[in-house]
Amino acid sequence: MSFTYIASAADWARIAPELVLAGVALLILLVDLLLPQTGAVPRERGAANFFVLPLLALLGVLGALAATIVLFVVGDGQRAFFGLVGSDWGSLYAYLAILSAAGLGIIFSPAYLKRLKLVHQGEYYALFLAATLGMMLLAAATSFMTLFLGLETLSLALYILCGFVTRRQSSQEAGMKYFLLSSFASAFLLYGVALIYGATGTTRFGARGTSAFPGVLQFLQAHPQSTTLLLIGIGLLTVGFAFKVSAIPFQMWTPDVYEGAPAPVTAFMSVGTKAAALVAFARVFAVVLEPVAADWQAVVWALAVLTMVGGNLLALVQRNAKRLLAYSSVAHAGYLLIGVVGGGATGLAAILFYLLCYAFLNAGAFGALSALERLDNSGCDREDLRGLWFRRPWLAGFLAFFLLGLAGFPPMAGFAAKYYLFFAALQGGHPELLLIGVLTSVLGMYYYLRLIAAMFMEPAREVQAGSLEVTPALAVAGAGAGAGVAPRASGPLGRAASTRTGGASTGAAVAVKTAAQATTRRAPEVEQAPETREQATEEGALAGSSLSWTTWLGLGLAALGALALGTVLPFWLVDLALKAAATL
Amino acid sequence: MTTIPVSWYLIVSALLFTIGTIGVLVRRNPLIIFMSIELMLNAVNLAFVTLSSYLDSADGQIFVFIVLTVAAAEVVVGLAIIVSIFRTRRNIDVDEMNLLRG
Repeated sequence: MSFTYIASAADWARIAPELVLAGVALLILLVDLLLPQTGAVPRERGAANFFVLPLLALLGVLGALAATIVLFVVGDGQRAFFGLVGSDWGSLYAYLAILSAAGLGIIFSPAYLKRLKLVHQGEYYALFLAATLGMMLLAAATSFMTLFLGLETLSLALYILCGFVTRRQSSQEAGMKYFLLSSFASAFLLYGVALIYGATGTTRFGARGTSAFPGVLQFLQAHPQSTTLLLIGIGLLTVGFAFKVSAIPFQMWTPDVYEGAPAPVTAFMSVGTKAAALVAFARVFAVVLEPVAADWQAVVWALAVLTMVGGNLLALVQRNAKRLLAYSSVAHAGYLLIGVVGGGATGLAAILFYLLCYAFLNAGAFGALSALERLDNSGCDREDLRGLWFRRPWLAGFLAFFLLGLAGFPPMAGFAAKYYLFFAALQGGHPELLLIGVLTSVLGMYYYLRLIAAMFMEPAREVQAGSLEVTPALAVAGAGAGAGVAPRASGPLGRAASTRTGGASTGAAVAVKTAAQATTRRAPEVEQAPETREQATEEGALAGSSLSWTTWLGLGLAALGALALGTVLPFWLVDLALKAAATL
Repeated sequence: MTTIPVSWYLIVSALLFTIGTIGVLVRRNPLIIFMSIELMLNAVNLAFVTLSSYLDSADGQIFVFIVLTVAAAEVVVGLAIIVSIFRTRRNIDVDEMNLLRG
């Protein structure tokens, strides 16, 4: 074994988007230390935190996006570092989806962090960018080494981000569950890689059409009969990947983690992780393991069907909107797996286009929920969403828009995306998948529409109930909040609240109910009571005022993107996706 | 000197991996679960080194370095999460972590 290893400047240029992100992530950590202290306010709570750091992170994402577009135009599409990382159009297309999700997640963050009084924002944004970097590396991986490295980079950053709300037990729990289950799945994936390495003698994927850096693909083309070692390896690899894309029966972590994690992080990870893992899944199975497709196709077919049916059925019984969206994202993973089974350029292109549409729709939906979520993770139940239209019409409108898009109604991106995916199923010779996909989509419409109906058609009963149902035990907790808020509530806030809720009650009643609700729901956690009360006061103040403008900006951008993808751009973008898929 | 066949190494690796998997599934303390996951990763490392020497290819050995590095980073993050949970709950049993379900 002897090596000559000289990386050229062209190699570095091919991973320019990743380099930009890594640089900015480090810069954010540095700037976080140097931010000026403003008076008596601790440095990490200062106003600059809510402006400078997110702006810097956003600039990093935009820089990476610019680098991606430049690579699209002038890049040579060759593999960097001796066939370890791809810079082909397929990877670049996946970057677009991942970076859109990251950008939207960052835009949703400042308002959320400010409302929940979360500090340590330097870490938050640096980890955000590190996770984005890992996702891009995973999507562009053309060797099992880079694949594993990207997977772990994104996972490690996301474990911390999921448990970021240290004062909320459910957030910590989400971090822990994600950590344990994800490392467990990584071990399976890794063992699969080791066995495939044993069977083929290489960890590189190998490019289609060229013999520059031979890899697994070239070996399998030469020896298409599969050995026992290879079969076991593929099996373990499937388990690992199925976990990462949250396919049933490996989905149990998804709802817990999506519910417990902070909403902006969920907005980002639900899309980014899925995009990266699915592109890697598609590349490994539909391209690299294509010569032995007969061995894995039935398994992935079963996974796709189980995930589509199970995800939609489980979503039907959810009462929490975040949980419902988590199960809906499981169902969407099922639709996406159709593309892997169908294979070919059409299937891969459909996956890429679907991911881009999904990025805007799902990030938008979770972003809208991020404006509702409270510190103790309440506020997203269907009961809380009742009559949202009468209290916050714009927010309800946006949420309904994204939900309709996810359900697949025509003007939004969801319809075009589903259309191409089902078309790919037909082209790949799997009409039964088309049928199951369409039927389960119809099933899916039920729970999306029921949530919308709750927001628009059912009256906001909770306000009146709150003023009537204050039992002595609850009044103890509620009194603090009520007393704290009442003097202020008589001001403009009180008027605003009463007009918005149809004159049903004053702001004080809203706050009392909020505290009472929180107390009943989380009675065992007595130590959290002071924070809950504090939060209730803040919620009262927030109900009257409008959201932070950044959230509106994020919602607007996501809606615009979803509309554009659904109406103007599909023809051009699908064309691009077709070309991109051929290079995966 | 007789050489030990490659399959023996692979069998040991498979055994270690199985022990790790069982450990993750039956133990309730996150620290032990975490140790079991590390055992699984090290089983993979053993397989990689064996295959690398058998195939006379460096890929496996380099992969081991990557796995070791990642495992170290995972320890840092994992223990931090466990400590942060212990601070608020005074209990890290995974069966008690049932706030999120349904």
